[in-house]
Amino acid sequence: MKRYFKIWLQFAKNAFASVTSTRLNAITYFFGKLVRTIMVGGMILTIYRTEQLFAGYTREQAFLIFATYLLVDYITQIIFRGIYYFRHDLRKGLFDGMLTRPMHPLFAIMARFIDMIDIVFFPLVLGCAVFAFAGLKDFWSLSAFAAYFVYLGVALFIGLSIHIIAAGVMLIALETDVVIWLYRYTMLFGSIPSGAFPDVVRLVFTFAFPIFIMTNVPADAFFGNLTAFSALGVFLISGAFFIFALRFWNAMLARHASVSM
Amino acid sequence: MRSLRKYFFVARARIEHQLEHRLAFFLERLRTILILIFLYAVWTTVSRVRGSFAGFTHEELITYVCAAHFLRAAVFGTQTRKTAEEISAGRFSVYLTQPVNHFLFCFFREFGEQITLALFALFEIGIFLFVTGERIVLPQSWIIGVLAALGVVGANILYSILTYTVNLIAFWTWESNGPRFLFEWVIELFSGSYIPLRALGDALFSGFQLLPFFYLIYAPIHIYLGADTSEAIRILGVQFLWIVTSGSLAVFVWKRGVKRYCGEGI
Repeated sequence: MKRYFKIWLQFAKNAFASVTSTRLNAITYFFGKLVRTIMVGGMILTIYRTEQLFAGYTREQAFLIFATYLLVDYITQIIFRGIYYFRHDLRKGLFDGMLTRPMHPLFAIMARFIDMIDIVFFPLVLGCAVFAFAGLKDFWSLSAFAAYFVYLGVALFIGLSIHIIAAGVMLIALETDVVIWLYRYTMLFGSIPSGAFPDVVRLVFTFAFPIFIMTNVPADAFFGNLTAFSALGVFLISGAFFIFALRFWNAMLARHASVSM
Repeated sequence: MRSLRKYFFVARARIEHQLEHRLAFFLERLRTILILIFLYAVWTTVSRVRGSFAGFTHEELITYVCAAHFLRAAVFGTQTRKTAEEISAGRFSVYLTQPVNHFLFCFFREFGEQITLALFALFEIGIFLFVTGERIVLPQSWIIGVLAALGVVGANILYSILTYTVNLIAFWTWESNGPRFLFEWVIELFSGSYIPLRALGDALFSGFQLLPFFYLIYAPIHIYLGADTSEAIRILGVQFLWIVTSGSLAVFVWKRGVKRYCGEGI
């Protein structure tokens, strides 16, 4: 664990050096992300400005779901940013080099680039979360916050599983990296209460591709809306999803043919 | 027309390229379908309760979401950064030795892509309406329909000029990905591709009308949904002015940029 942390720190230093040497890119990416967040946030706020209730949630409650979406989205981007370069690594044969190194290839893939721009952006995301919690004082209690952060951890765990699956797909589909972008756009669904969607969409994005578990469940846990059955079910689904992701990855890795060498 | 013949081959080659890379193509379409479902859920959740939202009836909102889905394909295509990448990597040198107009080459390369995407978008909208049982609004008259179609053509040309100009930044810096990224999200926001701009309030809406991005998505839909003939002609006139203005800017940037090009990266 200590060794991996040391390697991660080195990756972080490299990323920092990369960002500071490409300042125009860094600044414009930052503002691009800002515009994107304003757009999604603007869309949500436009609705909440006029509606007292949205899919069964008050506007303050719905805003916590949006803040949770931002937290999960940005934390996974910061930690697992390397996946966005994986297709390039595969095509250039760099991944074959990773396989020979004394570290888990998934760690090398995910952590090899840490997004410094997202780290700079993160205080704004945290500010959103604090603002959301400030509007929900009626729900404040130690157990509510504890439940929220436990399920936020579960959300990140599911995020890891999704990134592993995306890496597995890239191993066999070299022509595209759109899989990871599919995940990013699917995450948008988690920015609003799941009740806004038709049943079939809710079903798919709860059990098959658990986006709603990532963003709606932490907020529901905070509001005390989770039954014992669903609280346990979330752990079971996320555990099963992780096992599936690892098996999928191993199966795809076995098919990897180092064609780029 | 005869001189344009070679560019049609460029468009056709691009279509063949797309259909050759089918997995990438279908996954990309899946991504845009996800956006369609998301926007449908967001905007109809509010309109279903009240019957209208931000001045749009429920059916008009459905029409807006579907039209935006079509226009994202027909106008934006895949928001390619290819031209900037070619300049940065030195592959642009090839065009300097070929008897082609570089802008027209890039325009038709993207146009081929946009045709396929737009046809698929229409098919997806058909399926979407069938599954959801929703209905869309038809134009008030055939003249409005024709004017809206002209608005789409103008939007396509205007976007092509804007994206081409932004790509030319690569003549000055190899860090062109960041500016491209910013540009892509600015047009998504300011064009009304995700949000019907009128929903953001009168002050912001008036501000958006002053920008060229307004004429990419929102304006053609506005013509289709309810503008009268004189208003539609006024909108098309302003769109044309933006085409001329941004076209002049593109020529200026091209002339300055190509002088700086040194084939770095070959």
